[in-house]
Amino acid sequence: MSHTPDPLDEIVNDALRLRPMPAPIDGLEGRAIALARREEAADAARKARLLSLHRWSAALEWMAAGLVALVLLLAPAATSSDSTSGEGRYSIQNVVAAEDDGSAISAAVDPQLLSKLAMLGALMYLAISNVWTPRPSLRFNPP
Amino acid sequence: MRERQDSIPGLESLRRRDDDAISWLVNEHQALVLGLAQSMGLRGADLEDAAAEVFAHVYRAVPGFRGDSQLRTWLYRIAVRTLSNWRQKARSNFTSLTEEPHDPVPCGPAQLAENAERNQRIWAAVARLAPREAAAIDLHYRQGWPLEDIAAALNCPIGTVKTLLFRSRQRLRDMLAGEEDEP
Repeated sequence: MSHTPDPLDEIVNDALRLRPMPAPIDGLEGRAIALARREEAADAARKARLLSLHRWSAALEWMAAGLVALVLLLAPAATSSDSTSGEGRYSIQNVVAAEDDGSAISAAVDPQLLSKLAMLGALMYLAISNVWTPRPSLRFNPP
Repeated sequence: MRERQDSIPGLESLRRRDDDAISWLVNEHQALVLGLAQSMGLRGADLEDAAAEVFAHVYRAVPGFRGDSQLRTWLYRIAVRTLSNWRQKARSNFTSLTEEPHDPVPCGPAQLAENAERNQRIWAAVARLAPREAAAIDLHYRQGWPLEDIAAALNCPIGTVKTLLFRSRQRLRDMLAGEEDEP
């Protein structure tokens, strides 16, 4: 089978070979370097902001986890308290007061307050770890 | 196999972004980038800004260049991506060459003028191709690169380059035929 050359191939070939190249641009190197440095500076600032946000969110994660842990520590005490007595039930400060008195810690904390705190801590943790925690890319990827 | 690096003045000085090395890099590859930008239909201030952006990306990325590929194919890969993005961004106000005044057609015998006009139409048609198609056409016909190098620059297998070229020719044929049919 003979191979017939595509006439368009030749026409395109000629047309593109004959196309004059654009004139070199004066100062292209300087413009490119200036642009690159501006982008690098903007990137560095963005990374610094992200890292700072990252540290804050990590701190908040720890606080939320601490809140949950505190609630878990106090929960057994609350559940074992006598909820009908109404004595010393309304604040965490009462836990300290109860300890100082040598009385039972179990009488101190309102279970409803504890459940709210636990809910708040858990929500904070979920929100921070899933939404607010940025993962800054430290590597430049050309477009 | 590591490809040749003979033409590079010093890979380390490039990675360190020494002034001389960067100057060489820009001067040596400027025509390649400008030619591609022109084939994609950019001109005037757009062409200059796009070329500056390409070399800005190259400048930022060059410390990571390991020399696993030829410098020109690596650079061309950045150029294709940057210019494609640029054309995408500017698509709303992107005007193809056919909508702008043509370069002056040389005076002389009718055949010469006719050829020049046909060439203008082909350049304009290439500018309307998809960026990768325009890049393949530019490298194959204008720069005369071998298929292997085009494949490396476009980051695809040789078979894909052949398909791109075939499809681009097909589209060029359709566009040129469409223009001839117009009154």
